[in-house]
Formats: sequence, C-alpha cells, structure tokens
Amino acid sequence: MNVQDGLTLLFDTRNDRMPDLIQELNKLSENIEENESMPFAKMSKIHFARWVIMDATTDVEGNPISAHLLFESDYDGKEADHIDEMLHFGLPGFINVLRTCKGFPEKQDVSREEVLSYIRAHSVPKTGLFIGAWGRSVKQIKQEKHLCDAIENYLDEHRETLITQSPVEIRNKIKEFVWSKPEFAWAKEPPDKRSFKQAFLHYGELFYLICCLIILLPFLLIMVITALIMLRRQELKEPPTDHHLDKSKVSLLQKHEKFNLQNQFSAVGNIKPGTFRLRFLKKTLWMINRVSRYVFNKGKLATIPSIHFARWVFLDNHKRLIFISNYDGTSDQYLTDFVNKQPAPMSAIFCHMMDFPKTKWLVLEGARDMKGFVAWARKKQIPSQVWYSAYKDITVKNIIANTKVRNGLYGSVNDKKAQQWLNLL
Amino acid sequence: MQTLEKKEIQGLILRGYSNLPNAVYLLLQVDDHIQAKNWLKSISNEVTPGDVKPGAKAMNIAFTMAGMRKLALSENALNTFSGEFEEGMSTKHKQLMFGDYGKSDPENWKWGGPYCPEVHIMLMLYTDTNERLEAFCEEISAGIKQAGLIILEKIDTCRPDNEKEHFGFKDGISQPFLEELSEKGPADDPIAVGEFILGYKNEYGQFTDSPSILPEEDKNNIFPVQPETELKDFGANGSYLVFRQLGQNVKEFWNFAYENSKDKNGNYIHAEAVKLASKMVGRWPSGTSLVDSPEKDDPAMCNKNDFLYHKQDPHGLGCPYGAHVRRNHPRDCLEGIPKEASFITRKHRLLRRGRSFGPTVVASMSPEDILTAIDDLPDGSRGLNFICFNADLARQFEFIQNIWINNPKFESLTDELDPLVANPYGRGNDNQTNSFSIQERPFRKRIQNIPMFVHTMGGAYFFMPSISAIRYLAS
Repeated sequence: MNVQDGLTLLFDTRNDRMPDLIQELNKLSENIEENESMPFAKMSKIHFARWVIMDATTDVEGNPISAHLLFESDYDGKEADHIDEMLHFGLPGFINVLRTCKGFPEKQDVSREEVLSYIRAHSVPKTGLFIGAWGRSVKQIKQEKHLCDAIENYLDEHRETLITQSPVEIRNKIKEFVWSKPEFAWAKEPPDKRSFKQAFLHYGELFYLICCLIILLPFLLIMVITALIMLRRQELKEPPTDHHLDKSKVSLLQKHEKFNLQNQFSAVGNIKPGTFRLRFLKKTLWMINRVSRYVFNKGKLATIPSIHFARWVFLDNHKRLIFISNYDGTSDQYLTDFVNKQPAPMSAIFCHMMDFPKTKWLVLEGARDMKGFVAWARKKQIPSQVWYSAYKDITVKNIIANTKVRNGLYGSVNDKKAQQWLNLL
Repeated sequence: MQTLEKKEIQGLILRGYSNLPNAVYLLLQVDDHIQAKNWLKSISNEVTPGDVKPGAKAMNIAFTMAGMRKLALSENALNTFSGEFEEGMSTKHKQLMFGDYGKSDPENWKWGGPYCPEVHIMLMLYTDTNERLEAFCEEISAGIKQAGLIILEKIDTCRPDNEKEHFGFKDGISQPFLEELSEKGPADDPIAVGEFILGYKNEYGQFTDSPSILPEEDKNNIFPVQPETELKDFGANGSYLVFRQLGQNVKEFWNFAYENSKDKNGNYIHAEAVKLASKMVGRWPSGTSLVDSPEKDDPAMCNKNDFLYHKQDPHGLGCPYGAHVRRNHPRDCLEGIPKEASFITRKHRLLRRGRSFGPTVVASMSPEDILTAIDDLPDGSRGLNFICFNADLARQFEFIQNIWINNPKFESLTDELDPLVANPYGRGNDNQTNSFSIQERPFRKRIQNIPMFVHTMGGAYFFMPSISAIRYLAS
C-alpha cells in the first residue's frame, strides 16, 4: 500500500532579498502548475504543496524571532524520492527561491547536490499528522475519479436498457463495461493492500500500544488526573482573551482563497510559557498521530469530513507551533465546522497556544466560544504565497466514495449489496 | 426567552405584513447630507415599529454603508460594521462565492453593481390597497424630491394568489420559529432571536458583533452599553438586510420540465413535468413536501413543515439530496449524523421578507397554462425581490449561498449546484449548464444541461437600524 507523508522545510529569509523572494513566489503562483522553474503538475508524487513567508516576530518573552520561509508538501512514497522528483523538475525554481535565504551558497552556479544538502539541513520534523484519504496515491485518486465519471456517463447513456434490470445485473453490466476499456485495465485489480511488512508494523504497533495501555493503565490514570489538576490551576490564572475579529486581516486572507472547493490553512503562534504546556502539547500530538492512524483513518477527523492533510510542527526551538492543513471548502466553513462539530479536541490541541479562548478542564469552553475561537484562528492565520493542489475538484468525500465504487467491482454480490453500491452513484 | 424591545425594532423584521399586499421599494441617493438628515427626521415618526400590527400602511427604512457615511455617521462607527457588510455584494470575492457570472455579473446589474450609481437608502412602503399605495408613494416621493434626494429605482412588487412565486410554487413556508414572536406560547424548538436581531443572544449563547459608537458620541444616552465592550450598541434592535433582485425565466423553467419528462413517443406528460419540477424544488406546487408525499401533490399537507430528511427520507428517494429546499435548509440531514446536523443547520437560518415582482405569466399559474401561454415580456420582467434578515452575514446568508446553494460537492454530490437558483456558470467549473441527480431505485436519474432559470439583476447589503438609531442618524 502507498504511504503518504509530509515534508516541512524551514529557512531563514534575508531582509535584503525579501523583494526578490516575493517576486519569485508571485511568479510561481501565477502559473503554479506549469511554470518553467517549478512546475508542480509535473511532480507526480505531490498531493499538496505551499510556500509561506512568515514575518519576523517575538516569542512569549519578547525576544525576536527572525522571518522564515516555509515549504510544506504532502507526498507519496519515500521522502528521498519526493525531494529527488522535485529537484528533477524544479531545480531552477528552488535555486531562485532559496537564493533569498540565509546560508544558501552565494555563487552563480549552484549544483543540485548543494541544493539537496541545503534542503536536507533545513528539514523540520513534524509532530502530528492527519491524513484524510489514507493510503491513496495522487495517481490512484485521479484514476478512480476518471473511473467513476465513466461509470456515471455509462449509466446515463444506457439508462433505458439498464433500468429494468436487477441491481446485480446492472452491477455486472457496469463491470463488463469497465473491464472492456483498455484505459481501465488497472481497475481489474483491487487497490494495493498493506504488504506483509506494512501490516506487521501497523498491527504490531497497535498491539504494542494496547499492551502498554493495559499494563500502564493505573499509572497513566494517575498521570492524567495530576496533569489535569495542574492544568486547571494554570487555566484559572490565565486572563480572559480578546474577542475582537480583525476585519481587514480576514479580508486579506480571503483574497488568497481563489477557489471555493478547496483551500489551505496555516496558523502559527507562540506556545504558552513554561515546560508544562509544551509537554502536554507534545503528548497530545503524539496521541493524535496514533489515533488518526488507527481510528480516524476513513476520511474523517472525528466528524469533520473535509480535511485532506493536516499537520502540526514545532518551530523555533519549540517556542512556536504551526498548524498546516489542506481541506475542502472555504476557511469560513472550515472554522465553523471546528466549533460546530469538534470543539473539545480543538480545545485540547490548541489551548496550549497563546491567546486561545479560555478553556476549563482542557476540553470545556475554549473552542465552544464561537466568536473567541474564530477571532483567535484568524489572528494566528497567515496567508500562503504559493499553494498547489494536485486535484482541486476532488473532495475527501469524493475520494473515499470513488474507491468504494471501484471496490464494488470485485467479487460476487447479492441484490442488497449491489443496491447499496448503486446508491453511491 | 429574551424580552424583545418591539417598540425599537422596525416592523418588517418582526412581521411580513401579509395584510398589506401592496408594496414598493424606493432606492435613494443622498446629495446634501444636511437636507437629507432633515428629511429623515421628518419621516422618522412615520417609520413603523414592531410593537403594533399596522392596519392600512407601513413604512420601513434601511441604509447601505455608503448611505450611513453620507449621513455623516462617524468613521469610527462605520468601522464597527461587519466586514461582509463593508465589502458589499459585488466584489470579485463575492462573485466567486455567489456564482454571479455571465448574465448575473454585477457589471450587468440594474442597480447595486460597480457601474451603477451608489445606493444609500432603501425606503419600503406597504399598504392594504393599491390606491393607497399610489397616494402614499406620491406623498413620500414629493418629500424626497424636495429634500434633494434622488430616487434611483422604484422597485415594484406583486403578491400573486396563494402566496406562490412565479414558477408556481408556494413560497415562504419554512421560516425560523421565534418564540418571542409567537402568540401561541412556547414551542419546543425555537431559534435564538439573536440570530436575526442584534443585541440579543444568538444560537451560541453569544452576542453577535454589533456596530457601536463611542460613549461620548451618544450624548442623549439612547443606546444600551454593549455587554462585552464599553461601547454603545448602535446596532441593538437592528438587523442586516440582504436584498437580491432575482429575475425568473418562468417559460424556460417549465419548457425544460416538460421537455425532460416526455414519454417514449415524445409526448408531453403533464404529471411527469410537474413531478420533475417539484423534484428540483423539493416541494410540490401546493407547498407540500416531497418527504411527506413522495408520489403526488397533496394540498392537504401544504402547511405541514415538521418533516425531517434523515429520519423520513435518508436516501433522497422522495426529496433528492440536491433539491433546492433540501440544500437551503437540510434540517437533520448532513453527513449522516442527524443530531449534529440539526445542531448545525440552526446556525444557518434566514428570516425571509421578500416579495415577487412583475406580472405572472398566466393568472392561474398552472404549468399547463404557462407552457401554452405567449409571453412577450423581456427577460428580467418578473422575478423575486429576495429580502432577508440575519445578524451575521458571513455565517448565515453568505454561508447558505456559498456552501449550500453554490457548492457542486454539497453532501454526497459530486458536481451539481442548486438546480433552481444557482448559476451553472461559475464556481470553479466552466460548465455552462448544471446537472441534477434524482435518487431512485435501482439507480439515480441524472438530468443534464439544466440552463440558468434565475439570474441576479441587482443587489446590496443594507442595515435596518432601530427606531432610535434612525433618529440618531437624522440628528
């Protein structure tokens, strides 16, 4: 089975080269798919990618944090192959962009190896990762969309003859049609399952986690209760937060939303002072990683059905956290979804960041405060200068449904099963 | 339950004036602000408040951002209006959200567009008889002209029989239930009044952001203090008013319904055409829901509005997933989680107060008659003056328009917009036409090449202030 992962690169920008950087990114953004220096559409392993300029700011104690340039991508397969492919198609672009950053070789001809080692040196480990359509490669997502479109058209064209038949007969006719087409030869086989090694690691870890949980349960309980009490004491000390929504910032952010079907979200902010909050946050993100792998692996983050990829990365020596996601719909809808559907987990993750609406016992209040949460999120949100999606018109729900449609082509079914399958179309 | 200051709230917010079937809307432009203020002062006592039901006539007034600026409301106060209100309805961003392209492009609007004269004030007049409306309008217009205001548009309205809109379907059935306005006493599922009127708690138990002025700007101490700030609540008892004038192409709608429901020999089948049209709307012409009566119209149930989609029709076999009314108010049916869906849909409701305009194609409004009638009026001669109130434009009107109506991915759908009111041209796809799936057994029927039946002819966001706030603007 295909494995997806996320790459995060963080560079320090040079003040004197900032205009060049902005110009370079604008140039990419104008024709993100097929520009000459970094044509993302040619990079077959990338689901999503973005370049984000992060302005200089200060940490909680008021010490300066320098301006950064952030690159993120969600990709298929191994990291080395992904970087290799990016440099294969986009070396000139990477050189143009990275030239504006600190520490990049200052000479005319920079070799591929030098770029590669510069990139390697600036890779940041991610802490939490959520994947909506687990296991599916860009290729598979596009192929299955194509397949479903063809089946839908087939149903339209042959409605008169098909409508009088039983669900199983209709399903078999569709199967015959698909398998008669050479372009769908790939669909004769079901999607790759986990290899033996992958399955061993996947279930092995689950087994290990469950064992640890059972053995350590009493100890863990004491730890959780202690942590919650410590947290509550901190919560009580914190001042109430500001509800003021910055209108002009929202309008600026919305100008970067050029599509209604899919968008990007980046939010960055300082983590509350003290080691307790940071440790709590690290444990929470560790858990999200596990939970998203074993529980939320069917397209939904709890009941939120619109997130393709989301990740959390610590920056600047664990002083800041950045949340990066690619999702369906607009940011307005995205933020209201958080409050309407899953305020408790949102609070549990983000309450460790500065200015988050006051929580009570970790999960109460907090993100339930609609005005406060939206004002906070907009305050922390930063625009992406360059954003790429490999499939702008396919939602997570579409991806999941398309695979279901494909999977319905295999094996034998009864009328009831066939009807359920036809309901997907 | 919160106590409403009905004396302060303008009448139209609290009631639809069904006893006053004649109405006209005047769009005005202010030239000289001192004269305009004097005029506003002179009419302010005539503005109908919400505490008494008007018998013969009513008048309400609303302002655009530009209008309040023209009336010299301080910049500081203007800044406290919501960002959506400030941006207006005709920017590139809003165009993308609402799908206003092609014929609906703001550049082609009759009023409210980027090339149209700036609208400042909307005066809305309602009367019981047509004669009284003419006299009322004449009297008011004379005052307006005397004060140097310009009447940009006089938008007529009509109230066809049986409360039907031009396509021939009963309209305005499902309105949010406000306990505070009910004479019948408490019901089990009221919507918080703060969803529609500022200064009251909304569905989140919070006060929606409301425009304010500084304490020193309120010398006569007429506004309450905002609960969360020290500022004076200029917006209290007011509401944001959305106005979109929508042209309806009635002949094209019914032609399409008949053409796409012909039998094998190519003959029109009246019952099938009505059924197809009703599937697109989500209700039968009488107003009866397809959930309650999936096979044929049953006028006996036309006022029944307590149905639930997930509970009664989870697979869309009665009312299709993409039908107009199901998209606009999905009730308990989103993502297959009824409890969460009911919780969410309550946050996206509108208080509708619009009226149709233009002559009906035929007085009977029956599809058969519409099909055979000769209609030589140009496009845009009839339609709906869509008017609604909400406290949060982004979360209510814009959300519904963008995330539900104009979303090809609504629910489990893959590529279709609202079949009735959405503009197929726009929203990320280059399709000139729309498609629409009707869930059936053994498999769905997909109607293709649906043209645009409804187009936007004009529109703007207004603010309908409280009675005190009108006086403040006039001072």
